[in-house]
Amino acid sequence: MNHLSAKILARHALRLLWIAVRLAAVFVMMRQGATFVYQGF
Amino acid sequence: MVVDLASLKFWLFVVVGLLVLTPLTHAAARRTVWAGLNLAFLFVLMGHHGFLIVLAALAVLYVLLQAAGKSGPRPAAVAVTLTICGLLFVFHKLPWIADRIHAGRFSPLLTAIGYSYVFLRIIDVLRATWESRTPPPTPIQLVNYLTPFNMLAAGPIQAWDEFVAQPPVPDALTFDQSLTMIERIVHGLFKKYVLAYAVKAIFITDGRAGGWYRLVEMNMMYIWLFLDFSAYSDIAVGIGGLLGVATPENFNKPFIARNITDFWERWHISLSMWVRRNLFFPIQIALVRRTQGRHALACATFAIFVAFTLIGFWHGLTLPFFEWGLLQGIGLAVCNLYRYRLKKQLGTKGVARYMASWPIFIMAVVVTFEFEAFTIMVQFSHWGHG
Repeated sequence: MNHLSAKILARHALRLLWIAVRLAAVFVMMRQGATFVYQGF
Repeated sequence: MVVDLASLKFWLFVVVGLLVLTPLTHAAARRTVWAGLNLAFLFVLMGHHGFLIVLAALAVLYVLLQAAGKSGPRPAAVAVTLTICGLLFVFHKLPWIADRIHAGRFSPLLTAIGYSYVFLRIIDVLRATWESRTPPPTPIQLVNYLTPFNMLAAGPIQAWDEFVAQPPVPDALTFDQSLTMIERIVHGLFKKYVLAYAVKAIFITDGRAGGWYRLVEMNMMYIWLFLDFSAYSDIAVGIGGLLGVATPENFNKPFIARNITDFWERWHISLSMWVRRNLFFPIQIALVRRTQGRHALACATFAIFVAFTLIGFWHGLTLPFFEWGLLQGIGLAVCNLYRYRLKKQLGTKGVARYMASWPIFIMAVVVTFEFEAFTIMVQFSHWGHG
């Protein structure tokens, strides 16, 4: 049971870490001047 | 006056939405609060003047839809709705016409609400009302269906029937489901800001490079377009999932499509579904009736061709978009005829073997990829100049 919980916790932690890494990259690009304005169809 | 997904205001609306919608378990309260949030977003986006104009337009549309749902003045109400909305569509696509008749101030408003998408949603709800499939929408339904703030920028185009059928109160999300939705949003941001940005910066020259590089650029343009466009959909689906607002999927690995029909089941799915519902099936049924079912294949092929050629005009009332739509129409028509011929020549078992063959699959995927990249290249100049 504890082993299973630890595995789930580790998986969630990894997912959160991957989210953080991608967000960090997004913020770096934002600082570089990348914009996200949609001109509209 | 355009939706900026990088603005603090936009994400503030997401957070406020989460805080106010999550605890609401009463269906009517949820719908009302969601409508309030969408209207507040429009107000912040457009300012009070623009907001009042959009509100008045929604009120007029509401009255017309009520009339279209009644037994008496139906055809007139439908005709008036289509004419007004169609004219607004032309103004949106060709702002110089709006300028010429001193209606130029409406153009930024139409752009802000992503009128191309709103227009298709209006047709969907108008048809359902006209055909009495559903009662005419309530004002709150109209706001939530036409202008949901998470789908305002670039769709997806939700079907009216799906909108009506969604559960009034969604199930509470588990931690795992919430994390999946957050991942979806972050994935969209990463695709747009990092991947699409990098592809554009490294490979796209806006047609300045010539020679063999044209071929590379053609392929990279297609990849860039996917990264850029699907990023919006990822964000919209992620936000919708968190807020409990049904938001349809728009992409499903289009690069592995094995033919043009398969491509349109994977690329801008909500648009191709709209085309099927509102253009392909009505045209096909009308033709089959007229020919008394004698030329079913020809009717289906012609209906596909016309529907997708028209959808080129939806993207833009320009020659490059017409050419793009025409190529899609031709591609789909050829695909339909080829499938029929395969079935006739190989039989059911032979087709199954054909479909299971890896070399054929790889070849089909490459041909489809190159065809789609080519069609995008055709209207490349248009994209390049916004």
